[in-house]
Amino acid sequence: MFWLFSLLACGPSSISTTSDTGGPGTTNNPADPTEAAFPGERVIEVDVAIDPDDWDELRVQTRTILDILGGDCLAQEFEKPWTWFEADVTVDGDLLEDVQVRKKGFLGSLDNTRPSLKVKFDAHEDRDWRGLVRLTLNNSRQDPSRLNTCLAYQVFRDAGVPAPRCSYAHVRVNGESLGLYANVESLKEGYLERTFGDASGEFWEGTLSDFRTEFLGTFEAKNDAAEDSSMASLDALRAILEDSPDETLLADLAPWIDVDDFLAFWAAEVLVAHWDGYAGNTNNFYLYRDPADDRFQFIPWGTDAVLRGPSAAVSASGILARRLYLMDETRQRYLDQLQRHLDTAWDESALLDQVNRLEDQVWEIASEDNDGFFDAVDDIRDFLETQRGNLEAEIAAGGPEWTAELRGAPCFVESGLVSASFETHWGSWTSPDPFNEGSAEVQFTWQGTSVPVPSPETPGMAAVRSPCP
Amino acid sequence: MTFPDNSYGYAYFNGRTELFESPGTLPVDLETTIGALYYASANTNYEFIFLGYLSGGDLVLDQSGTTNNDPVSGTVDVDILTWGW
Repeated sequence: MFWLFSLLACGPSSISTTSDTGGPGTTNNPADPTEAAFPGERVIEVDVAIDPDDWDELRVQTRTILDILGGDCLAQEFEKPWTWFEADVTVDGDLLEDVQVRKKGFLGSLDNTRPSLKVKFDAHEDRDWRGLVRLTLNNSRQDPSRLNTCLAYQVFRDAGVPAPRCSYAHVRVNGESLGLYANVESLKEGYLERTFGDASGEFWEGTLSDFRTEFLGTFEAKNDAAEDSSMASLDALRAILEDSPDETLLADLAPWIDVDDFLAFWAAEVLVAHWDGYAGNTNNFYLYRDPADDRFQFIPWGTDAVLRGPSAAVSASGILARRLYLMDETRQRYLDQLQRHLDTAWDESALLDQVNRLEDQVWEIASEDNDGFFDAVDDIRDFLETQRGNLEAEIAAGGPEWTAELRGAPCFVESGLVSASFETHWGSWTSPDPFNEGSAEVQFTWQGTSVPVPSPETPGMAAVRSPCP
Repeated sequence: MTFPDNSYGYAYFNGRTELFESPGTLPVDLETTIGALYYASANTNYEFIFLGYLSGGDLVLDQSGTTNNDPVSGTVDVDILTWGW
């Protein structure tokens, strides 16, 4: 065994990781004061005044991939490391004093410089802005165009799928611009009332969640009805999807899921290439058990890494999508639904016009400290111009085969230990033989077995590299 | 698993330059400092393959500087994390 050992000094490190056109429950009711909070393509102004020390504390609160996938990974909902901070917030010229703000995000959107934010208007008194008690301001970190989130929700709504309303916001903190954010409708009681007419059903958020034994624990109850259910309804769905044979699956699902509604949701995820949603990654979705029929509706979330291709005509990592796609009848119903979305909800010409207008409107804000803005907008155009052809070719061929196995839990397993001492010098990486510029002694245990260390005559090597390539 | 002779391990750590202080401690947590372990042998045609992340410990710098030829030395104790996916 011979050891190479290197340090890389870089900064900062990371894992590598509209218009409201209506839909079911999307009222576009001019009498609804919340409509004014999502003014189509106009950018609202959000100014946060916060104690600088509080801001420095807020923005660096974080979770790591180890917090998510280490320890009792997927055994329970993911802990939120965020705390609320007092602030005054001015939204479109309306000063709201003594509100609270906190950071938000799961992993890919976490950013210490321009964090995604929640604003709570009713922290200390019964108060709202344009009828909203919360603002959700997403940084669109995985989308250099900053446009995708709202465009995707618009497509969902146009496709008849309940989805949050969305517009754009220019966010400043203590006078410093953080650039363009997505102002996404917070999925709270008001949203449920407006969309379903009744907020008393179970409401759940799915984050790396599925109706499978090892993925059920991460569903997060979002209201009392969900808390009180003790997950009985989700567990019933799990039992059906894990155990029911194909012959009875649709009948067994019928009391819990309107399959046509789910097909519409699933096909819309595929239409916008939402790989990080339910069907693609069992992530970024809400479930609402509509009291009207006691069945679960899917609601999309986290639609920033979308509208990039090429993408296939199916994703079926989620067990519900997978089981339906692997049955001939429901596979054809899914493909028919995808084609209907293309026929009725996918107006690429109008979307291209909208992207062009948005680019003209927001480029100065959206390209601040964001060199990728223009290329990313071009990527959206490319996607819009090619997605129909890609999908229709696959639909005409009967749909792609889905051969992937159900994935295991994406958790870390502790498989060994590394202990080392090393010495080298700064810049050694630029040497013609960098690892001979230093040395390392390494002790290594792999799956309980100690691996022999090198003899003193053949030490490990060490180098340190800077700056980043 | 015991590695055969003539195999290679490569431990890699990536931390922000400003944290390379003397003395200093860099948490290896897949955030502040990222660690990864690679392995090469005859079975991999001596191409390094990813074996796992290194995390759950500290990289302790006994001495460090960020000017060329400054001595850099220290110790590190970390877990090897592999995917269960």
